Amino acid sequence: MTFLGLPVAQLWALMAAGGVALTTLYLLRQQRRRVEVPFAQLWNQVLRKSEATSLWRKLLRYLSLLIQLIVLGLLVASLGDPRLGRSEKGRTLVLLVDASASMQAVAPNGRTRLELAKSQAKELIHALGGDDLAVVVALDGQPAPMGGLSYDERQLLSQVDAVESRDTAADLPAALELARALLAGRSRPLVILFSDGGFDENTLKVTNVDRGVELRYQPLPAQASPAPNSGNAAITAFAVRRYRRNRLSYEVLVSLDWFPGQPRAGAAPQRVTLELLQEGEVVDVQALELQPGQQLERLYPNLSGAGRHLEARLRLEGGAVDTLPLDDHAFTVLPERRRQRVLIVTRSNLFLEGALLAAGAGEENHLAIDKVAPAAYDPGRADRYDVVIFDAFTPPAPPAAHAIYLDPQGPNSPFAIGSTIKSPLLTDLDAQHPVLRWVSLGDVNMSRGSVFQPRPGDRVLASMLKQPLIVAREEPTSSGLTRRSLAIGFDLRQSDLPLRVGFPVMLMNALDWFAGDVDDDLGSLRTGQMWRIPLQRAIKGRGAESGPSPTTATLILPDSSAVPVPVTEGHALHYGQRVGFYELTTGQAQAPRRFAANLGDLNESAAAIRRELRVGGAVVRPPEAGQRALRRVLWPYLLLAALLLLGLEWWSYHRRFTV
Amino acid sequence: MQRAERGSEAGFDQSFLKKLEYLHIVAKKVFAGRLRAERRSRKTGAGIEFADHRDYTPGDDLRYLDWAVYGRMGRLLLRLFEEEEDLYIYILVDSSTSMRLGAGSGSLLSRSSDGRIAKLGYAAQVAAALAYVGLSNLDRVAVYEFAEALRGQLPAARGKGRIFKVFDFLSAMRPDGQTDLRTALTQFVHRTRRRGVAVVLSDFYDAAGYEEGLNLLRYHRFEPAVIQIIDPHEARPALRGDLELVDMETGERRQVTLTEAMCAAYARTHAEYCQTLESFCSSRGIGYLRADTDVPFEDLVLRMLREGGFVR
Repeated sequence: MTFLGLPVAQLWALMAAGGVALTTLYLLRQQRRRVEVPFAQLWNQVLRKSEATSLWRKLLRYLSLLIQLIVLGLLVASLGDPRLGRSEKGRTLVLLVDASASMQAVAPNGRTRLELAKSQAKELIHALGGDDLAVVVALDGQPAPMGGLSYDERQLLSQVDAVESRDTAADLPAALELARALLAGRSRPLVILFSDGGFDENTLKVTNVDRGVELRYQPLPAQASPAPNSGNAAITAFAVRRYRRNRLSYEVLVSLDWFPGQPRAGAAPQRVTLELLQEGEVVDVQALELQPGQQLERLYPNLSGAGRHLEARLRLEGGAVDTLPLDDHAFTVLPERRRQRVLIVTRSNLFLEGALLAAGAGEENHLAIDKVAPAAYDPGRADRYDVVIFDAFTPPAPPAAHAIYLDPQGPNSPFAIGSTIKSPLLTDLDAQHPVLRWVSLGDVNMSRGSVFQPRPGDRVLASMLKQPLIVAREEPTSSGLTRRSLAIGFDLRQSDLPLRVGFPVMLMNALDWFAGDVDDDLGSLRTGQMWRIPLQRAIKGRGAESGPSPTTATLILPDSSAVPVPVTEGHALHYGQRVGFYELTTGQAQAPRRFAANLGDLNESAAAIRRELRVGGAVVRPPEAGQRALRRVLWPYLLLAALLLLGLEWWSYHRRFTV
Repeated sequence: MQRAERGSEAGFDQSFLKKLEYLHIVAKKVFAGRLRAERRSRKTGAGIEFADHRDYTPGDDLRYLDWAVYGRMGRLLLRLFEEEEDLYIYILVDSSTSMRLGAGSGSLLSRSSDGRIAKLGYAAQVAAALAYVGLSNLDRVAVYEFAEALRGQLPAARGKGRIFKVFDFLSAMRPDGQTDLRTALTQFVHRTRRRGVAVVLSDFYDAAGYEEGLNLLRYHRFEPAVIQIIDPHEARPALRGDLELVDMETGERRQVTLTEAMCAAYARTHAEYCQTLESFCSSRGIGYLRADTDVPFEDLVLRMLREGGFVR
């Protein structure tokens, strides 16, 4: 017996208080009706005769008290909401309800797959035995139980109702791990999966379900099968980037896929209409034909416009029905056009100035370059710039801004110098770093090079036989932001690097890295991942350096609801579950950071339905039909018994049996 | 006019009174009366019904000499006639508290809305009827009120005109006190020199018993008659549940929980009590009549009293 209502201690207290009150009332002398009789002697004779049965009558009176105490006990017990207890025969079940993106596919009867799966789960819950303990787990990118293990049918049904679809893929291995943890030490553990079976094949092959749990797969009912004229056209990729030379213009890449509802050989192509919208306004419409199983990519070059929010819409033509509307929309945000203020501290370096001029040249010059001689260098002034380039000059202290140190020297060098080598060659290059993207430094000559002693966390970009010559550093500032630095251990004027094409490219890469254009260009993210959204660009500038480091930020979701998200190391963390436009604010006086999220999952967009599921190479059996058990809720029966006893008490009182 | 209203209050209308005039109270014994009336007496005298002969003595009225006997036998015998005298009728009405039973909010003599009448009121009506019967037959009627003792009396008198005094006396009775038949009847027999019919109207709820009192009447050569006044509600009570029973006369209290079975047992006990009284009376030649207050008064007087031998 389990009590889900009031705690047992409170029930005992109630019973004791009620029992004492009832008994006290019972023992109190009853105010009797006074009746005058003409000759009490006759009554005395009668009462003397009845005294022989008075013991029985007293017992009947106590029977009345007993009935009332039992009624009280039943009422108090019903307040405890008692349930039938568990026996050794009971199973422990984890009901995995697939809430991934593909479960939003609509069946021909208008119901989504998730609704059909939830109906199946509810049917199974109705058929659970009184000893069966169960819990519902929503199977999406982050599987989570919807409540505790429960015997209560209503609780389990409400857990099923609480399952909501997510715009993510389903993480079946994580769900099985969770189920194992929930079922550890429980009797007769069983996992039942309610899903369309649209999992990644490779994941299914490597997933092991033999460790401690027994898995059953409940495929969707036949009514979930798509109609012949239906299928899913999906935007599987949607990316945008600004041109590096012309940041007013951008190009957009769209990938489309067509997944027929009933795949068969020789299926006809599907005509679709693709619309591109900027800030809600249609800027391009294309009629396309999608071949089954073939990806179609469309590039929109040389687009321009002031809006930053881009959206792609896909619409089926020819009367076909799209089963999964979720991936018919894709969203992205154009990277912000930013102007960088650059300070060059140099005696005079035409190579450097020329390269910067080349980097900033174009239809829109996004660089504002100032030059100052080392003697006139003012650290306070340097803090007003985004980037400071020290050419053969080592400042007494590093500036608050990002910095490039060209051949730093002396003890004030932020990058400690271990030794000096003559005519070094760059033998090891980190081409993965954004600064060295599209740059070849393999045969650069230089007369002398300083070998840096990198600190933990520093990234060596170029070295000669493990002797670092170019080092990149990212370090948090006192306000929690990230300051980036690049040190080049040789003088440009004693090297042929400025004469190479790679030099201005490397310089441009470095400026982009500082500005965050490389890693901050979120554009669009994929759902089903933990997003690490940098705050740096939003916080940088306007004197925000002096403020305290934020620990939380506010993320406005596509449905306009706001959720607080934690911030660590200058990045906000959030697990993406919905497609659409997002906006991140910190509460400080900075412009919000905007980005978008898309499904971007071919497997989910395929929206396939598996009648048979193979996990770890073995076919997963469907669950056995359960035996419908007695209702496990007892309080209605207790109240009914109390009512019957009250009726008996009423009848016996008025029939004068118990008085 | 005023007298007629008083008669109506007592339940007597003119037609009923006419019927009563045809009734006579039955006296089994022969009592000595004071005045010539319609009752036989042991006296011989101026009656019309021949009783006996005796020898003539000088000074006797020669008109009563039986000359026929003298002619046949030569003896002077005087004819004796039974002299008819009046009868003394004593009506004793119990006015103890228990006789209040059945009283409504109005007068004791009137019936309440549910048709009930106080036992005392009913007894007063019967007493009035008996008194009227006696007065109509030139008997002397005395009315006594008693409870724990004799409380008041209407002295014996004759003549129908006396009936209104009887009404006044009976109307003035108020139920109070405990029944003590022995004391009351002892006082009665000691105060009353003339013997006669003594009709006792009571419920006979005497904790000390009614036997001694009734025997006193017998021992003192009265002809007792008993009319037991019973309210049907006391004979067959319909009480249920937790009650506190209070004795109307003694004030004795008893907390009881009555059931249907107990009420039935009480009804049986009450019937036994009445039966015992009736047996006592019949075994001692005492007239007994049980008068239930739900029986219409006229029915009781005109039918039951006659059937019970109280009147003829």
